[in-house]
Amino acid sequence: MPCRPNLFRRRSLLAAAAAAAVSCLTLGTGAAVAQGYPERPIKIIVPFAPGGSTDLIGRIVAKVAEQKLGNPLVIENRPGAGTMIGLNELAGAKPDGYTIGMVTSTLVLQPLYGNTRYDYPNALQALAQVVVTPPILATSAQSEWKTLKDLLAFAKDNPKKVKYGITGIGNSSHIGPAQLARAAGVEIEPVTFDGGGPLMTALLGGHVSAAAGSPVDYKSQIEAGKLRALVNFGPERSTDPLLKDVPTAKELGYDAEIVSWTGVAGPKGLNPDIVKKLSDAFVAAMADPEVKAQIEKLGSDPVAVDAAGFAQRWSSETAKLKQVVAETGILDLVKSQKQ
Amino acid sequence: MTSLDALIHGFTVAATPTNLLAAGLGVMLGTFAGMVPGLGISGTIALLIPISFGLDPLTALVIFGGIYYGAAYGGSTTSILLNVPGEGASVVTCIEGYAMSRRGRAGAALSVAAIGSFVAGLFGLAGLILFAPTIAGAALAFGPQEYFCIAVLALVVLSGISGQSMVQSGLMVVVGVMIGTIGIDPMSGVERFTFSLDGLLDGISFIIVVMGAYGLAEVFKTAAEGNAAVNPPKIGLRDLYPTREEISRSIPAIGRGSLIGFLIGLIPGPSGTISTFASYAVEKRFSRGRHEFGSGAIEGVAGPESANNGADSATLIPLLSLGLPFNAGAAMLLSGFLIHGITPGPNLVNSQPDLFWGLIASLVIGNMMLLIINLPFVGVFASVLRVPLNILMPLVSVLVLSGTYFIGNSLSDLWLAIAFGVAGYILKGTGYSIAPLVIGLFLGPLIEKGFVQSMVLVDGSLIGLMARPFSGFLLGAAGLFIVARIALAALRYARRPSSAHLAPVLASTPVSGLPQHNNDI
Repeated sequence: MPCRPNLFRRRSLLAAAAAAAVSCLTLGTGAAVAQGYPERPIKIIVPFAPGGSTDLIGRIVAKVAEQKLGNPLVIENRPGAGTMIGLNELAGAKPDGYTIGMVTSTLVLQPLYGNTRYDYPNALQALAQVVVTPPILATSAQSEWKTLKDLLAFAKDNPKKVKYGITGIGNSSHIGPAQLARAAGVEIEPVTFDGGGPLMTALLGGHVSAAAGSPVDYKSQIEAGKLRALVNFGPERSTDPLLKDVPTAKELGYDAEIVSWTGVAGPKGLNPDIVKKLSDAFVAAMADPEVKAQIEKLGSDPVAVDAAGFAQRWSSETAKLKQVVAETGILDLVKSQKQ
Repeated sequence: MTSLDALIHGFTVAATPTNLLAAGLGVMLGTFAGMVPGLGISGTIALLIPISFGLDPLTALVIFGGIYYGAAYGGSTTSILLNVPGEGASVVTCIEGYAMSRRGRAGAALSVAAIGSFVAGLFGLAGLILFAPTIAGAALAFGPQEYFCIAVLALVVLSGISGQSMVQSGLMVVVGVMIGTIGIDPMSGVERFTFSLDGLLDGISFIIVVMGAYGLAEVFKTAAEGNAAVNPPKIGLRDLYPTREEISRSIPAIGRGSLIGFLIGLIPGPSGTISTFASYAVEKRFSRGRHEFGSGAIEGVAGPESANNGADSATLIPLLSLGLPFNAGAAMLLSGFLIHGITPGPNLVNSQPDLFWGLIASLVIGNMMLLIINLPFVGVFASVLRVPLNILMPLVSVLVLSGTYFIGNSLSDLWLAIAFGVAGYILKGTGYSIAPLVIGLFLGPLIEKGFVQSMVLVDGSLIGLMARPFSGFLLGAAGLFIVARIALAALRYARRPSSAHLAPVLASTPVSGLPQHNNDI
């Protein structure tokens, strides 16, 4: 059939012409768009219900960042499905700079378990990281385990008898202790709770013997002398006076390190000038002493990482955690649940 | 310093003009938040937190506390008047409250709800002041095993709530539990029955089902009835407030509701909603007006509305004395505390007595303000019913759909609400009640979560699940309840007159045609 190649060529020509026209159009107007940006309010999707720490951090940061941008930042909560509902909406949004969102470590972790609509690190554009939180492992102050060594020694003699609470299967509260157990050669069992509050209640009530999660949830109880922090899963010790004496797992000789973080991202395909404007605004907001103080009051560590640094974190963590979830058996656990 | 001295001192702190204004502002915002379906405590406090930074911490907390309380007051309004529950805790109020409305007794229902909320709120605060640290410790004994067992007991007891046949309600409970499994399983992270739809990832929220199946279904029913139903019932001014008989019937119900709410509020989890269901079940069985249930018994409003506020007060006990938020509203309040640099917990009362007692005193003041604000408005709200239905019902649709959207800013929730509206309308016509479905949907996920957590904790042994005293007692009670129901049914069957052996079966099945029972959801 002689006409077929023709048709093909004509189609591809047309497509090429169209693509060229579109790229001319975007190139031509792109700079102009970015110059006037933002011309109207920007929507920030928060993938949690109002009142959670990510929501509050978003509101605190947005209040200052919007002054830098000159147009309001409007929070829209899209909670559910371990942030995936909000992330899916963000990844599918028009990349015009008027829809951005708060994101957390889940964007790197969820795709590793293979049940996401998008490969988030590649479907999203990093804008700025604002908070970092290393999870800790804590036990009741009445517990006979004074140090991590005590707990691990008990676990060695009593396989599967130590039940520790986590805030979600496969999240950072699960990965830290799983790495630790593997490094120490012990078997301990996770119990999932739907959030820091219910987990804390179970820990104080003695229903689980230890719990891992964000220090945000634990600080007040440590201060009140009800809980004892055993280990910090961050790369270095916390500077917080309450937690500065808690050793890191690395210090104790166990290869276990994970942090969770919060930042701002947009859909892939944002104009580079818009990325820069947003990144600058959020980094500047994080330099504001009042913003820092308020985030510290919530118990988190404020940081200011720009778009490039944040993107770098996504790719390095994806590579590292892919290995970690396979080695610790968490990936197999998640896979086995799906059958 | 005794608690009483401290409280009196608290009043001097709370009664400054600024803090009184703050309490007034808080309770009004809270009433509004409760009244608008889908808005709720969390959304309102979250909106205010960034604005509150400039305020004195106590003033900010007084506003947040007012919102927390006010929302529980406002929640009943749309349930009673329009059959649209704004949140979980006012679902059960629809059943008798809306039936009362249709009889022209909306004013009485609203008044009793406000008075009951007031009494239960004060009762809860008294408990908080007198026993806070003692009770809070006891609440912690409640672990996953107990949670599983109490949810099972609740399912068994509450499945009979609609008064239809055991087979019918059992069927609806099962459907509800099934719907409850949709979405990402929070325990394992696995997607179940989502059909790759984003809208189903987070499961089907029980409040969306309720808004559709109660609110929208009522709109469809009215539309189907045509012009006959358009004219509103005539309500005179003197009909706006409760009669002496209604008040005397409400008093014991308010007392029971306050106590039930207070006790259940000490349990971690969505205690507000559970306590309203429990109170309704108790009133239906034991109150003087139990025979009127289904056609607008005032005890069915007074009890649950008191329980709701009692539970909200009791939830403050673990929050203030342990720093533990037992439900979403308390978690929001905790965020409000933290952001002002205040850490609730065992040390709060000693380290910042002014703040602690000032807050408690302001809650007492706020409670009184709520009663004073709410009672005069009863007449205004009840007049909504004078609006002809052909105008009112479209407004109800708007209210339901906007409320549904408020909850998660999600379009797919709107489709779900409409689908359940249609389903609710069809079920109503066939004599199946939706209440057991709602209960199954609400309790199913709680039972599953408690079971999975317990199984890990007790190494998979079913005996281990029951080996704790309280969990064993709860499961035993559930078993006894089932046996008793079967025995009663068997007894009735054995005593039946031989000539009319079908009568008992028919009697226990509400006939859909009875107008009074139409709201038997």
